[in-house]
Amino acid sequence: MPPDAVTEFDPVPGSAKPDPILVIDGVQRSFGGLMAVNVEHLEIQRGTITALIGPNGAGKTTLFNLVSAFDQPDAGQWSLNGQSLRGRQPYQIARAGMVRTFQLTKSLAKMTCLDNMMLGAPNQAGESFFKALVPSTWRQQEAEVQERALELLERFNLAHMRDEYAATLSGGQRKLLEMARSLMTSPEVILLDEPMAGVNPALVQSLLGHIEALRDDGMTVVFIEHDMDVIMGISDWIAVLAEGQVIAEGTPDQVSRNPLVIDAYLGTDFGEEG
Amino acid sequence: MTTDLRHDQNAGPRGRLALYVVAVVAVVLVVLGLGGLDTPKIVSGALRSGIGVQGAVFALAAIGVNLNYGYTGLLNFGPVAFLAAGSYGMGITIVNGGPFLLGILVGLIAAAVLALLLGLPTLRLRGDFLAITTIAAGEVLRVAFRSDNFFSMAIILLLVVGSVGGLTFLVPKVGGRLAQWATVVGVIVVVGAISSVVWNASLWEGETGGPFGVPRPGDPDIVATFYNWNPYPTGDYALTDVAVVGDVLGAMPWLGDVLESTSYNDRQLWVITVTWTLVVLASLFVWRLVSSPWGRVMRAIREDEDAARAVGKNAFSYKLQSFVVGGVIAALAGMARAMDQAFFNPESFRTQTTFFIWTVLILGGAATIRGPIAGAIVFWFFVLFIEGALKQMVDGNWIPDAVLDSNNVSSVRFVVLGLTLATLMIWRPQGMFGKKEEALLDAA
Repeated sequence: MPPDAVTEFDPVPGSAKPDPILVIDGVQRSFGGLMAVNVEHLEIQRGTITALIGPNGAGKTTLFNLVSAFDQPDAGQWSLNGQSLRGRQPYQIARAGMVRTFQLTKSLAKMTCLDNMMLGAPNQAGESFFKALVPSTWRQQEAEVQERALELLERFNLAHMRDEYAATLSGGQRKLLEMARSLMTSPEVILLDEPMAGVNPALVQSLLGHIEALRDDGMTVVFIEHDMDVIMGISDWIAVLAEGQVIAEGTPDQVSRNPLVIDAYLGTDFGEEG
Repeated sequence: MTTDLRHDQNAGPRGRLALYVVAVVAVVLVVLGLGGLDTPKIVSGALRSGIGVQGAVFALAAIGVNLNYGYTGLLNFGPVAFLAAGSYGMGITIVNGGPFLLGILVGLIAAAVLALLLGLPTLRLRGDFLAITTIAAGEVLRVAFRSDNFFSMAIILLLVVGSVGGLTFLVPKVGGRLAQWATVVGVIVVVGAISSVVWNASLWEGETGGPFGVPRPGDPDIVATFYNWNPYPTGDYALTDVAVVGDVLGAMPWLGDVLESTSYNDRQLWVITVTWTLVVLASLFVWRLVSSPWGRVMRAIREDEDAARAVGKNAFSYKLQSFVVGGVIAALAGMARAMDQAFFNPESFRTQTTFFIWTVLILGGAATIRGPIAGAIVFWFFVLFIEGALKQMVDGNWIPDAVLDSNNVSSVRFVVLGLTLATLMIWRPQGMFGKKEEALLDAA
């Protein structure tokens, strides 16, 4: 997709995209009397970086939890590549090609970074009980998985930590490790929940580079973020959530000039700063 | 937490604590010996238990729990239920004229079925639910086996658990929670009613022997075939009979006495041979599993289940696999113990067994291959060492009867043992073979 193609999308909530990979329809989730998520329609364009923004409590993480099946919606449908994901288990959604990371990083503390990575590889023969007992059925694949894991660790500047326990990494490094582990599944869509939170500014720049590289490899990235510089810097498209609903969509430029968004979220000062 | 963790100055060499323990034991022995007590008898009694049937049976059971807890993070607090399932499955089959090997097969299948019944409903829930369910299951099974009307209790309870599991497994979210519970209650009532009519109480007690256990007087011997295969000629076998070791060490003054009196008869030796062989095979089996990609998924589930699911691993299926395999290994331990004693009854399966198995595992070091083996040997060595020493001190009037008489020694030994273990755990929270750095990460 040419980089400026997004400018031709209709900048309204629920706008149709030419080639949506993820389509969310009428997904609702309430906690008691609070409607946490109520997304009428949202399409994510294939091969773009889409930012999901909104004030605290807007339902961004809940929406991630719903589409990755870590939480069940009260109503609604969503589909990946036209295939409905409703009623699937989280592991089935990961296998279908959509993988997520967590706001509170989930590193596997008492496993080495390399083991953390190798876990992510899909279709491993040695993960079946009976084949596990016969190493000759998985040695070859294990070597290939390890090679890929090392490549990714290298790319995320974690190669020197390969044999260290994940618990010994810094917070930022754990974010990187979790993202790298997700990539081991070779996903089509990756959902990143606040990938920059707690990461030091120097590392943020390299992370941004990684995320753009993912898109350039053809992956679709959806991420939740609060840092406006980050959002404006790398997003192709932005969807704004407030009180569970999509209140605006558009390119960074369009969104930052949208009075609804400014009211709901960005605050009146943003225009002066930006 | 820094990367310097693995070079922690306090970690110290692995052998240091072992050295302290051996030193303390030696000092105790010297004091007792100077006082004229029979120290070789104390040590040989302790050794007999540690490297004998007790040690082997608990090592085997701990290997099963290790797969559950050490490698998958499942809090299985009911290994004794699997010992019971294995023993009763085997015993009832043999008493009814089934061949020995069929009995073993039935015992293993019983354990696997029990694991599925307990696991299906609970493994979807948070970890503590499994702990509660398994500890209850152990007690329910024991009481049910003692009861003369099993079907009013256990089968119904297990079917309840099973049907809840089946329902949540097969039809998640169908008709909402209320309908689900209504269905469960309905199934319980129907199954309970049918089973009480179809089976009658005496049939059940006729099989389990109720409080009398298996086999009851007049029943066929459950161990006949096993001992028919015994290759050892009738007689006593002491450690001094072991080639080379026996000749050299047996000639030494004090050690010779210890080895001489550490002896087993041919039947015990046969059980010991078979059970330790099973321990080695089970260890190799578990080692093979946990050092494969399968084991990596297990450890990932132990660390963070959601992380494993997020990268496409069916955590529920893996937890169930771990539970079934661990349960089957524990069932082997139950059957080995039944072979040794040629008999078992419900009181053979008290919760105490569960706690001993856990102590063995934690003492040796969870998530290690050698841990359960070393833990079992050391645990039973100390149980019998403390008992032997106390008994002789009481008999030799070192301890006045008003403080402790010989009838109470076997209870008090656990008080002393508890203190000893607590002290060891303060020094080595990771157990004998556990990794210190992992224990530190847990604390962090």
